[in-house]
Amino acid sequence: MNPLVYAVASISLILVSQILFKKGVLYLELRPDSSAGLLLRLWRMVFQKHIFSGLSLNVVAAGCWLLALSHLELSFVFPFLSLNYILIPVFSTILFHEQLSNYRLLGIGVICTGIFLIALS
Amino acid sequence: MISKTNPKRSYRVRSRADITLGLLYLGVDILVSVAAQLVLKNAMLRLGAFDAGAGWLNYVATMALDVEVIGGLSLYGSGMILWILCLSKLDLSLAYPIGTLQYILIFVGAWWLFDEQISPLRLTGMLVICLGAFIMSVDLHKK
Repeated sequence: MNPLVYAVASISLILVSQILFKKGVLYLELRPDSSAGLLLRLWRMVFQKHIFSGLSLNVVAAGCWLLALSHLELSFVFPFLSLNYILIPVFSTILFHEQLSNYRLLGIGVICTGIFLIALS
Repeated sequence: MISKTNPKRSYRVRSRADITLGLLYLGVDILVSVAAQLVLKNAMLRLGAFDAGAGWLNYVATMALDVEVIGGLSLYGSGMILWILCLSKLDLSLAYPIGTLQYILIFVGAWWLFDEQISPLRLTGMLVICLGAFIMSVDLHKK
């Protein structure tokens, strides 16, 4: 099995966790409880179902990243993390109807080219 | 796509103190995140390549209990917290381009500490990614 699979798994899990964080924060924004103290609000945030799932996925993502590091050179695998510069805005556009400006589209294209060059190296 | 952004709130004016503190968080975040990757890579070089066959559970258990792995992951977690703190003070349009320093430091560290061979193709790829991050940040404050 190509060890790049571990890196891609880790990056995808980070992507999903970011989406879950955004969902969780939006969920909490609909139910503001400014009367609660800081610790209580932090507690509710961590144990909000989406945010908690996102945090758990991050732990799995870190594990996958370690497996990728056990096979691949750091200077090869690390730049693949920039895939999330591309995937997060794309998914934010689809799921949360955020705007994707021309500069962002151009930047996404340039980053794709860079990742392609790294993959070839 | 229809923008839901209220034009009056399209970007915040940051105070000088906010920017200074944000840059401080960002600087420490970059150092801590790079250190995390280098420590983790060092640990994984010692533990050897993972084999998905028999003994995988043993490998994962050894990994999870390794002092260097735990230390590296703690640095990694601290980096994430610092990044969030930084974003509360700085706009992404400033944080993204400065954050690309991470790539350069990772390359220097991997070359210096682990004798990784950085081919011209790989170096070009890294610089192109940094360029892309710069282009993306041109109008990121108008989110």
